Amino acid sequence: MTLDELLDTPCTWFFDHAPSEIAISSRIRLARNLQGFSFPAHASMEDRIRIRAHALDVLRKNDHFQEGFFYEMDDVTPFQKQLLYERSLISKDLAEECPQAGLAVSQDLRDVVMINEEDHLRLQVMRSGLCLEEIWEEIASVDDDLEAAMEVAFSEEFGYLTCCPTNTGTGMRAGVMLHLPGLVLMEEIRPVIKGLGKMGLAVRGLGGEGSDADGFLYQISNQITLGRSEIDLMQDIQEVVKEVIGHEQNARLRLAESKQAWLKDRVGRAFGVLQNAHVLASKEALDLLAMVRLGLALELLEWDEGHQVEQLMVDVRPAHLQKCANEKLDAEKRDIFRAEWVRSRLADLKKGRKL
Amino acid sequence: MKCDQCDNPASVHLTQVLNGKMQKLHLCEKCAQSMGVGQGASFSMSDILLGKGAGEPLTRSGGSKSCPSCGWTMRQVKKVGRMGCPDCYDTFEVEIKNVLSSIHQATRHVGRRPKHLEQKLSLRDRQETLEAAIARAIEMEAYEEAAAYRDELKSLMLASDPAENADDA
Repeated sequence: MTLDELLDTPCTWFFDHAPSEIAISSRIRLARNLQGFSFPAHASMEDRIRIRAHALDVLRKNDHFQEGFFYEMDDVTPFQKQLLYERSLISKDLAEECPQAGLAVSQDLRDVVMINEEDHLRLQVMRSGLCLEEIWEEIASVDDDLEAAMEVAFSEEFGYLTCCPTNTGTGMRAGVMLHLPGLVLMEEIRPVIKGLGKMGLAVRGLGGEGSDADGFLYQISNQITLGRSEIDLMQDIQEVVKEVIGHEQNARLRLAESKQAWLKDRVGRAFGVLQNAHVLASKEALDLLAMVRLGLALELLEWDEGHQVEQLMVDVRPAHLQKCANEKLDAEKRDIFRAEWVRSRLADLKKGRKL
Repeated sequence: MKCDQCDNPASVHLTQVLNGKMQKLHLCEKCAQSMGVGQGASFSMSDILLGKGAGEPLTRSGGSKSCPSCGWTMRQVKKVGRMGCPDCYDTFEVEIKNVLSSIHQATRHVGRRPKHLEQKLSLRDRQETLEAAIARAIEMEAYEEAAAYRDELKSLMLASDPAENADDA
C-alpha cells in the first residue's frame, strides 16, 4: 500500500467509541537501541543508513508488520509528514528534524516503529479506549521479535540504555488520552493536574493553556522509567485514569444538574458558531467541536452519524484540512476553508437539534 | 499560570521530588518543545535538572573523561542532557548514577529483560540454588542427596552449553 492509501485510512483509535467515551486512546512506546552504535544524533550518516536498512529489513519479515508500510523518511514530503504527525503516527521530531529516519507502520495502523528518532528504535502501539494491559501484550511481543533479530543495548543494572537518561530502564512511556470538558467547565482541572503531578505522572494538554487545553484533551503518562517494572507503572496509570474518569463523570452530572441552562447555552452556542462561522482558526474549531462532543455525550444534541464529530476533530487540523481541500492553503485561506468544510458537514446532519 | 522560562501561558506541568524537595516546572508549549518535553519525544527532565544544577556531583567530575566508543564527554552529557552511545553508561557510570537517581529516585532496573538474557539470568539463579543445596547436603553428610543435586546441576549445565561442558567431562 502506498503512503497516500495509508493516509486515506481512518485512524480507528480515534473513532472506535461513542462520544460519551472519556478515554480516547491508550498508547505505549518503548525506546530501544542497538549495541555497538552511537545514538542517532551522534552517529555517522553511514551508520544511520545501515541501522535504518537493517531495522526495515527485520520489520518487513515480522508478523506484526505483514503487509504493513515501510518508509525512508527522506522520500516522504513535508506535507505527508505533517499528516502522519497529526494522526499521532510519528513524533514532531521525526516529522521535522531527524536525518535518515525510517518508519514502519502495521497494516491496521496500530503498531509503529520509528527508526533513528532520538533512539534507534521507538516502538509504539496505540489503541482506542483505556487498554494499557492489552497494548503491553502486543508491544512486548513486537519487542521480543526485534530482540531476537538484533542486539539491543541493555545493562543488568540500568536496563534498556537510551539516549536520554529520562528514558533509561524500561524505556517505556505509557499514556492515556482523556477528554475532560466536565472538569474544565467546573474549574476542577487544576487540582487534578496538581494531584497527578504529585504522583509522578505528567499531564500534558494537547496545546494551549494547561487549564484549557485544545479540545479539552489531556494526556496522562508516567515520568519515571527506572526502578519500577512496566506492569507496576502501567497499573498505576490505569488506576489513576479510572479515578479521573470517575471525577469527569461526576463533574458532567453536576454540570447537567446544577448548571443546566448554562451548559445548554455553551453547547448550543458552540453548535451555532460551527454552523454559521465563515472564518475558523484551528484551536477555535477544536474547542467548539469538543463542546459539541460533550453535548452529544450528555444527549443535549443528537446526530445520526456516530463518529462525525471525531472525524471533524481530525479534519480541522492544518494538514488534514488541506488534504480535504485537495490543495495547498495558506493560514488565512485555511481558516476560511475550515469554516466552509465544517458548515457543509453540519448541514448534512439534519437531526442536529435537541437542545 | 505562566511558563518558568518565559512569560507565555504554561501548558505542560511537571512535578518531581528532588533531594527530598518537591520541584515543579510549568512550561509553555514552545519551551517544553525546545527542551524535548513532547508527546513523541522523551521529556528531557535531565536538561532542566542539569541546567538548574541539581546534578551536583557532575561538576566535580570535571567532564574531561571521554567515552572510548564514541568520544562523548560528561561535559557534553551535561550540556545536552543526552548520552552519546550505549557504552557511555559504562564510561560515566558514577556520574550517570547521580543523574538517574535525581530523575527516577532509583538507579537499578526492575522489569523486562531481553529474552536471551532472561534465560541466562534464570539459569544462573537455578545454578546458585543447586550449588547451595549441594553444600548444605554435604555439610549434613547427606551424600546421596548431594549426588542427586550434583546430577541435576550437571544436566543443567550440559543443557545450557553442551559444547563447553563436554570438554570438562
